[in-house]
Amino acid sequence: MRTLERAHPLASFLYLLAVLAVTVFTRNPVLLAESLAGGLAALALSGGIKKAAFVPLFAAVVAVTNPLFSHNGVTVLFFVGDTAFTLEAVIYGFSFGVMLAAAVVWGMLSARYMTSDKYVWLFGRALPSAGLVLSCALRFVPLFVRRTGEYIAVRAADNGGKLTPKICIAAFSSSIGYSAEEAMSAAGSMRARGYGTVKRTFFSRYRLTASQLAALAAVTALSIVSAVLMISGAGAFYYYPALSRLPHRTADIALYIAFGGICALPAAAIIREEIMLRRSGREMSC
Amino acid sequence: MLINTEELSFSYPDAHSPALDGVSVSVPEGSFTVLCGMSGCGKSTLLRLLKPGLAPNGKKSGSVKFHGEALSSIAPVVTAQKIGFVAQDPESQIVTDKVWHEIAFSAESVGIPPDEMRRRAAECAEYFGLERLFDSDTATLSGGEKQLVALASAAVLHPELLLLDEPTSQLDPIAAQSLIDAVIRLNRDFGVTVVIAEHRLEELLPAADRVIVMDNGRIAADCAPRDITAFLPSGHPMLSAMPAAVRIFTRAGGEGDCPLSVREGRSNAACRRFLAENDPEERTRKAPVGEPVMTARELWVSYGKNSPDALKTASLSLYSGEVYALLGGNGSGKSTLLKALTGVVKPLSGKVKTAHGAKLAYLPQNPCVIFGADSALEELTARGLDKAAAAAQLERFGLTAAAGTNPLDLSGGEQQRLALAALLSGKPDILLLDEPTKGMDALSKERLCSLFGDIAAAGAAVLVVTHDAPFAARCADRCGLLFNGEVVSENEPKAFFGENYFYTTPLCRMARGINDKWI
Repeated sequence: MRTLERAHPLASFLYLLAVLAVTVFTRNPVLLAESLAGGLAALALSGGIKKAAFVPLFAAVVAVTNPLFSHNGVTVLFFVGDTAFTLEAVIYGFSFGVMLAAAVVWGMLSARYMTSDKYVWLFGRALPSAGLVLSCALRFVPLFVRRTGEYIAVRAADNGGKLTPKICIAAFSSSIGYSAEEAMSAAGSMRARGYGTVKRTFFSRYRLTASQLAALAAVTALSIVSAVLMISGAGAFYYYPALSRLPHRTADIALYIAFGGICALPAAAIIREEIMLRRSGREMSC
Repeated sequence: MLINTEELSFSYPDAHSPALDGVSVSVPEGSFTVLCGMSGCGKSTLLRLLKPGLAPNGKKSGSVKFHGEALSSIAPVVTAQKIGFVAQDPESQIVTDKVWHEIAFSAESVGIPPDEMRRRAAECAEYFGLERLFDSDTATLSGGEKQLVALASAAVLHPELLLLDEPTSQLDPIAAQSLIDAVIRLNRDFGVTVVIAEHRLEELLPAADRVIVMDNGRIAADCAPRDITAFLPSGHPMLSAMPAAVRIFTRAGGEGDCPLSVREGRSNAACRRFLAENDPEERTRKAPVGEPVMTARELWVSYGKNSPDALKTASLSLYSGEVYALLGGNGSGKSTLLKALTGVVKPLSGKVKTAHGAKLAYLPQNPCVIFGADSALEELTARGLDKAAAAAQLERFGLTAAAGTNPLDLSGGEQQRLALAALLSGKPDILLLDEPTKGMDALSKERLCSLFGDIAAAGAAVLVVTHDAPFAARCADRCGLLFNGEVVSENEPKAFFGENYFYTTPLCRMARGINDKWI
C-alpha cells in the first residue's frame, strides 16, 4: 500500500486517467470486467472491500431500470401493454452498471492513493501559485468546518443545549467573520517568511527514481498500446439491435492483455509489497 | 551590534499617545533578550518594527539599523531570511495543509533551489524533532506542535536574529517549556540572537542574558536579569510579574545579585530568612455551604470505540458563591468536562444536575467564538441590555473607548473582558470558563481574580478550568486536579498546593520546608 501512496504523482495521475478513460469509453464486457476486477482486487487488498458492497446492487438496479427507458433490441422478453422489454436492454443496463461501479471503485482508490500532496505537486509544477492556493484551501476547509462546529456548540450551550436554524446561520456568519480576520495575520505570517520577495521555487516531495520511472514507463507503454488498438477498432462491441459477438482476433486479445495488465498493476504492487514485508519480517525474527 | 534602534518613536493612526516614544535599544550578536511589560506597553510594536513586512502602518521617526545599515535599505529577500519572526497565535500563522509544506514554504518563498531546500527542510525537521510529524496535516497538531513548526519554518532560513512575540501565550505550561527550550537551544547551539516578548517569565528569565522592561512605549529598565531589582523602580507593576524568587527577593529587601530560579531562591539567604520569618497575607477562602448549584456525578464520556475515554467517573460539585479552579494537564479531560457540564457533550453514563432555574454561561478558550455583532456595544444590546445598561456594563469592564469597535478588532485582553461583560449581562448563576488567563499579563490576571471574587460574592458559582497554578492559588476557594478523566484530589488552595509536590506553584516549591504557609 505504501508503494502506491508513495508513487510519483505523475505516474498516479496518468494511470488513473488511462484506466478511467478506457472504462468510460469502452462497451466491451471483457474490458469492463477487467477494470472492475482490478479495481476491486486493489480495494480488497487495501482493506476497503466493505465499501464496495454496493457493486452488485448497483449493477442490478441499472440492469433492471434500463429496459424501462430503452426499448431497442430484437430479442423481446415480454410485453407490458404496447412496450417491449428486450434482452439487449437488460444486458446493456447490466454492463452500464458495471462500468459505473468500476468508475466509482477507481474513484475510491484514487481518494486513497492520490493524496492531496500529489495534487499540490501536479498543480504546483505548472502554476506554483495554484499549488499554494490548493494547499491553503486544504488547510482552511477542515479548519473552517471545525470552527463553525465550535461556534454552534457555544451558541447551543447558551440556548440550553437546543439547536435552531437561526443559531446555525448566526454561527456560520460569525465563523466567516473570524476567518476573514485571521486571514490578515496569516498574510503577515506569509510576508514574514519572504512571500512575494522573489520568484518562488518549488519543493517536491517526489523524485523520479529508477523504479518510479519504470512504473511510469510501463503505464505509459500499456496505455499507448491500448489506445492505439482501440482506435484501430479492436474490442468493438455492440448491444443494439442484437448483441455483437465478442471480438477475439489477435488485436482484440492483445488489447485484453494490455488493459488487463494495466488494471492488475495496483493489486500486483500491493501483493509484491506484502511479500517483501513478510520476507524481511521473517529475516528480522531469525 | 546586530540590530539597534535610535530614538525610535511610533504612533498608530488616530491614537492619542505614541505606542513607542524615543526607544533606543541595541542588541548584540548572540544575545538572548527578554522583552517584557504590561499588555499595550509597546513591546509587540517594537518587535514588529524590527521586522520588515510586519511593520504596522502609522507615523514613525527615528531609525532601525541591522548590521549598521538602515533596515529599510536592505533587500526584502535578505531580511526575510536573516530576521525570523514567530507570532502569538498558533492557528493563524500556519498557512499550508502539511507540516513539510509549512517548513518548505519559507524556503520556497525566498527562492532556495529544490535540492538545497530538500536538505534544509530535512535537517531542520530533524533538529526540532518534527520528523515524526513531517507528513502530518497541520490541522492535527497541538498548539505546542504548531508553534514548533512555526519556529522551524523561521529557522529553515538560517536567521541571524529571531524575534518572538509572546510565542507561548496560547500554550499549556509543558508545551510552553518545550518551545522555550527549543529557542534556548537555537541561541546556545548556533548563536542565533533572540529577542522574545513574553509574560511568562518564570522559566525564561533564568535563561536570558538581558531583560528589557517597557512601560507606556518607553524603556523602564534595560539590564542583566540579575540586576532587575536594582534597575526597576520599587513598586513598579512589572515586579509582580517577575519569577517567584525575584518577587520574594524584592520583598526581602535583598541587595546585590538577584536569584532567578526556584533553586537560586531556595539557597539565597535573604529569601530564606524572609520566607521563614513572614507568613503570606491570607485572603479568606469560602467553604462551600448549602446545596450545590450544579453536580456532575460519575461522568463517563468517550468519543468512540477506538479512542480512549475522555472522562471516566468524573464527579464534581459546584456551590453558589464559590470560585472553583479545576487544574490538569493537556488531555486530562478538562475541556470535555466543561462540554459535558454545558450539555454539548452527552455522557455515556453519569448525570449532570443543575439546580432548578439556574442559568449557565460558558466562556470558551477563544472568546471570539461568542461574538456575533458588529460593535462591542451591540454585542451587549443583542443580549437584552438597553443602551444605557450596556454602556454602564462596558464602563465597568473598562471598555467605554471600545464601544463602537468591532469585537474582532479588539486586543486579546479586551476581547476577554468584552466576552465576560456579555456573558455576565445575562446574570448567570453558574459561570464556566475555559483557560481565561491565556495570554494575560500579571495586572489583568489580578483584575480578573478580583472580578471572579465579585461575581462569587454576588452569589454565582464560578468554575475556572486552567493550567495556571499561581492564578488558581490566588483566586480560588477550592481547587481540584483532573487527571486521566477523573477528579483525583480536591481541597482548598493552601492544602491543595501544599500537598502537591509537582503540580504546584513556583512560590510553593521555593518555600517548601522553609515555611509551608506560602503558596
